[in-house]
Amino acid sequence: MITDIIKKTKAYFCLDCGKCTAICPVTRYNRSYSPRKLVIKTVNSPDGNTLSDERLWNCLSCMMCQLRCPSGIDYIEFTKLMRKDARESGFLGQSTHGNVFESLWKIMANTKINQNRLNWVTSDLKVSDNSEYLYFVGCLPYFDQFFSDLNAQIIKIAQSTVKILNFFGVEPKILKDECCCGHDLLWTGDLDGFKSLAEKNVKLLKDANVKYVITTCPEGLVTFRFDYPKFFGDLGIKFLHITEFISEKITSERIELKPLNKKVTYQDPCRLGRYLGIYQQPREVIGSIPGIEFKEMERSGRKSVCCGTSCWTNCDRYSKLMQMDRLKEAKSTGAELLLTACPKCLIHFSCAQKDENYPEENRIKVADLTTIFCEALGGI
Amino acid sequence: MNQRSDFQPKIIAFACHWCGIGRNEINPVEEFPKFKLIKLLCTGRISSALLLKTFEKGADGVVVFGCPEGKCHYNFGNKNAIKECKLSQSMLDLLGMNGKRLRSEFDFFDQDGGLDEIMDEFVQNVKELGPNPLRID
Ligand code: SF4
Ligand code: SF4
Repeated sequence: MITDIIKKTKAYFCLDCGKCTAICPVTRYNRSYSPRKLVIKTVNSPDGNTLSDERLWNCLSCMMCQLRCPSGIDYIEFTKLMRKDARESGFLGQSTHGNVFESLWKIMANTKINQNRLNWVTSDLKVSDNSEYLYFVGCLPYFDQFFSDLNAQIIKIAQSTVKILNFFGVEPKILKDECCCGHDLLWTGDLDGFKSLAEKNVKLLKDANVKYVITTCPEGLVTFRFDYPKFFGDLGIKFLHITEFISEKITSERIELKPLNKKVTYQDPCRLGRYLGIYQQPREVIGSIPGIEFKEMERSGRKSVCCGTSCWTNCDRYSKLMQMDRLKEAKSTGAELLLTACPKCLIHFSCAQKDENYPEENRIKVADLTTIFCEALGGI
Repeated sequence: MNQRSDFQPKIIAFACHWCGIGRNEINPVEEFPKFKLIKLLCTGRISSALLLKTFEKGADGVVVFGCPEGKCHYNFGNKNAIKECKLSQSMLDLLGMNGKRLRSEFDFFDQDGGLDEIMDEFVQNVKELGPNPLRID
């Protein structure tokens, strides 16, 4: 019910001030999109005609607007709930890649599936069935195959993570049948799809009998920390991002790292930054590597700009423009390497640079933080 | 689920209009005793999304028929399809569903066997692989 959504997200408090639209990175490029208008339109006529508005699918759920809203309206929750109702009324956003990921998730969620997803675990990586730590790899093996033409070395994130954990004396457990955490289905309004994935994971995580779950995907972490408890209660597991794990270790232990003489900058992923407040840890990890010269982008931390697309939905020319500008900003710091801590940022920024019209002078290498830290430990 | 012995696989074949299969038919979908043929204007329409969707909906096997490389009526449609088939096979392998459930025939012209022989062989292969775990009967 729309009226429930209005109540739940406090949308009726909207002052029509437009602060959200002024800060929204989508509006900057796509002038027809306005979070203010969507809220006002919904509050003024809660009969459901906003549901067919295709602009409902343009939001990146980047949370930028929410930090500015003087009335404390939960805009991202508004988007999430409205999309659920929109989907139920037969309206959907534009799925990128022909919606292949939705098929993948639906197949993965099936309990009769026996995945074959551990080929990346080479013999030098130590994993163990008896461990307090579990490394939740998520969709990485699928992304690695699907985006192989981007040469983004996506699976190296998983390999580097196990290497890093091994270095700190942890031989993590890994699961053969874990599936996508369900983040994207949740945020595109497919609650049933989300639940079927989550139920499968919750059972596996409970059976795994571990204390800590490490992730390299901020979206996974947000989903585990905030969304799973809403549906399944407390799992009694501490969910950590790999940068939280590393930063804790490097403050308590003295470690020797190989110097890397590079100028780098860092993209705060929306979920890791604004959602989880993990701004400091990634910077500590980067700062611990000798030789690295760290350059902050002008818009960083709370002000960091999204990588341009979310949930494989509505990736359009505005997304590309947003990515180009962000990459230009990264390059203008003088950095030669753009680090990030989210596999999707890595995919989106690598994809944007494949465009034939991408300006050569703005080209910048993009890598995940884990792969660089692993290199400093001696590499894979 | 079906016993292996009386297991009748559901097979979908996608074929390009120009590759010589069902060319004289106006129907976009043709039912054969052992499979269903879906005709496309060009295999350029094939994407991993389409192929995986077919498996998600319960197909036990999928075949893609297209023209030999370099002979696409629209120049590059089959090139794309070859790439998408390979990609889908690797995805099926990751999902533990076996990439062999998907077969692509892009030099159909050059083979003596003809459609029946290829399909008989494929049906046999799929029977050995067993039903698609997602199949709902
Ligand atoms: S969450 Fe981000 S993309 Fe969505 S309306 Fe707010 S600022 Fe714009
Ligand atoms: S910032 Fe908040 S109060 Fe202002 S227009 Fe946007 S939703 Fe309404």
